[in-house]
Amino acid sequence: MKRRTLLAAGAAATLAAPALKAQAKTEITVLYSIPDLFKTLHEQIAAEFMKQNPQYKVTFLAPQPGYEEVAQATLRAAVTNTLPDVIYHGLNRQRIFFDRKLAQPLNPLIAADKDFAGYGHAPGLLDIGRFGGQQLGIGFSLSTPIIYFNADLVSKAGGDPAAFPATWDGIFATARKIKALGGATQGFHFDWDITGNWMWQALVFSNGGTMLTADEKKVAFDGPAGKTGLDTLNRMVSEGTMRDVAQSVALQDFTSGTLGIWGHSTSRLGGVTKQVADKFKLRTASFPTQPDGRLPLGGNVAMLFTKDPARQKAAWEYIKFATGPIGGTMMVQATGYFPSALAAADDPKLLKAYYEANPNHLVAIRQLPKSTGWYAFPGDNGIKITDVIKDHLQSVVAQRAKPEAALPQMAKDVQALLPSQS
Amino acid sequence: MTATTLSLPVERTRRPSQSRAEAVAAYVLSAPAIICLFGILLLPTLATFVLSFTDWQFGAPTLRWIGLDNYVHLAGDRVFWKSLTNTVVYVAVVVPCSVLLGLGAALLIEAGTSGRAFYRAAFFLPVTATLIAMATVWEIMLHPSIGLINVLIEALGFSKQNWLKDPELALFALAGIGIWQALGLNMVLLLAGLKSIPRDLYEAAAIDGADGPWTRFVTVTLPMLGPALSFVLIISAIRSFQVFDTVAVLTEGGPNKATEVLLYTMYQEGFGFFRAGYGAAITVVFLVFVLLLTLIKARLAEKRVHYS
Repeated sequence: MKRRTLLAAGAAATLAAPALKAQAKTEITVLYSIPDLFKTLHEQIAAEFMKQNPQYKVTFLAPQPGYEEVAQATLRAAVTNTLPDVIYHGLNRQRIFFDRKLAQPLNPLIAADKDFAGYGHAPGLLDIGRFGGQQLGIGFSLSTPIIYFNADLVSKAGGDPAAFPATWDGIFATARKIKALGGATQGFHFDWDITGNWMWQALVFSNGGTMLTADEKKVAFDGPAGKTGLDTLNRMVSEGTMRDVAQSVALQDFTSGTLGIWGHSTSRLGGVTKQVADKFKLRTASFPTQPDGRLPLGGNVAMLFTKDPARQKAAWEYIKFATGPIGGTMMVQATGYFPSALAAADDPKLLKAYYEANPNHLVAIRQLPKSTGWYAFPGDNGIKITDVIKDHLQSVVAQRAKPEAALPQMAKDVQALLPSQS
Repeated sequence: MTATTLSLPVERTRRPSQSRAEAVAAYVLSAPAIICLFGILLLPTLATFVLSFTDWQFGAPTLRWIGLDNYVHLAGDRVFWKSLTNTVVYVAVVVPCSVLLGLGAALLIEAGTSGRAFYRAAFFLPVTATLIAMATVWEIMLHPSIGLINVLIEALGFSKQNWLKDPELALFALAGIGIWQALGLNMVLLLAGLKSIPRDLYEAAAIDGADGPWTRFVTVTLPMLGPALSFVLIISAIRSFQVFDTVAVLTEGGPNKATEVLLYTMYQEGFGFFRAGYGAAITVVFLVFVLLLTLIKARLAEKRVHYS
């Protein structure tokens, strides 16, 4: 009897030893979105992080399809008190987590960390995650809108890929020539319906405009910049051969080599380059921008949600790693985004060689001096407003509304949804 | 435990304490049902009703009483009216079509002599299939260039249609899927109704001279089918009012709100735009419609729409 107990105790101790060791690991949960772009990448980065920091364990929750959904999931989790420790949010979705005081400020963690300053984050890129003086997000993967083109089709249509037009007029003219090649060939598509009115903001900002006035009380996109912007969108259809099709159709057409010119985020460049391979010569060009124009940054940031100090420490180490030079290098090679830790791009040990070998990826970085934030409308109706704008843009793209009629109506509808002046 | 209490022999003269014990037992026994009724039906409905008078944002820690503001906004909200109109149009298309086709299928199956089980199963299959999965299948069938439907249409000499992207067609394309889905259930319910019509009525009618198929249908089948038919009508109407999955999967209310329906607008407002109070107001409007239909059904059931 006694021997048995002893044996059992011994066995329990042996079993308990690895269990104890496992318990010593701090586990953090992480949520992200757009799995078709990020799943493999996030898993690779986490694996590398855990290899270098065996005391931590990163567990991913089932990824959400897009930035809206991950924002919804976060608010739901806040209601049920089941927030993950780290969540990747779209740049334009950070605001609500500041307003609701859900995101935890990173400032104390940054202040206590002597390594972070040496990670080479571009100061302007850290600004995009700063709200009311608090650093809430750190850029993980960032983008600007660019123009992709099929250099073979451009040459075939009599254009010069080395001197690709820098204006919309030039782009539309080339698109018409490409379309005239006939068959299944399409001239041009512009993903105007990217989430959060991102491309609409690009059209207005690139003409020197803003969404609202500086005090955020009145609509400002109905000014000259917005007029040019909406007119450009209209001309994409009437002069630029653009069809009213879904983004997925444009992506399929472009990668299969039947679409000549495609306006999209730089984010897909990595994936598209792989898909295109040797089918045709893929090139990229700058987004047409006026001298005083700017372009919205896109992409997502890592945000901290846990309040538990031990988990915060672990989560910070993870965020630091994923957004830092090593995570950034892995991210650039897997996607078309650029990292917040831009110093890595000039580091011969990290990304310098990659960018030299892939000049298409440089276009987005070259546009950086012109970049500005991805605007989020203020107040309770912030997200509803993006939907209202999308509907009006859709009616222009479908050619059911003239831009000169749609713009004032859109401004009126948005104004009604802004926080009242009281 | 409680079962034994119940099975105690009933005495002629009950002492007050015992009758109280029985009452307590009765409450204890019905407690789970009462708790469920309140917990998952009445309280959420009440909460929705209360929320519809607030500006609650989804997930927000605070809310403010704003009276009828949400309803005032609803009255002036183009999207809401579009959504309500679309829902009514959808119901007006799906209910008559699915009931008439269901009735036709039921009559044909009942009149036929062979392959009844096969036809019953074939028509009932869409009811058992997951609508989300089926919606994806429909998406491929309705694909503008390679979809089976467009290929067929083109083979017949008509021009291809962009079913889900054309604002004039999208709602009707969804209604078509709705009919396909509802037909089977209507058929089964009506088949049951047909089975319960006594044969001798037909014989009696024949003796009275009603022996043509149409006369038989009008004088015997239709009146006797009254209860089943009214039930089927109301159930189809309520189910069509709840259309959501096909919209969410196939069109997301687009193009330009052409397929926006009440439940989808409610979902968008509450969970997409986080305007939960406003979403609650839309839910209340939706509940009023369903309640109206249910009242009509109750009234019809009271009148007992049959001739027995």
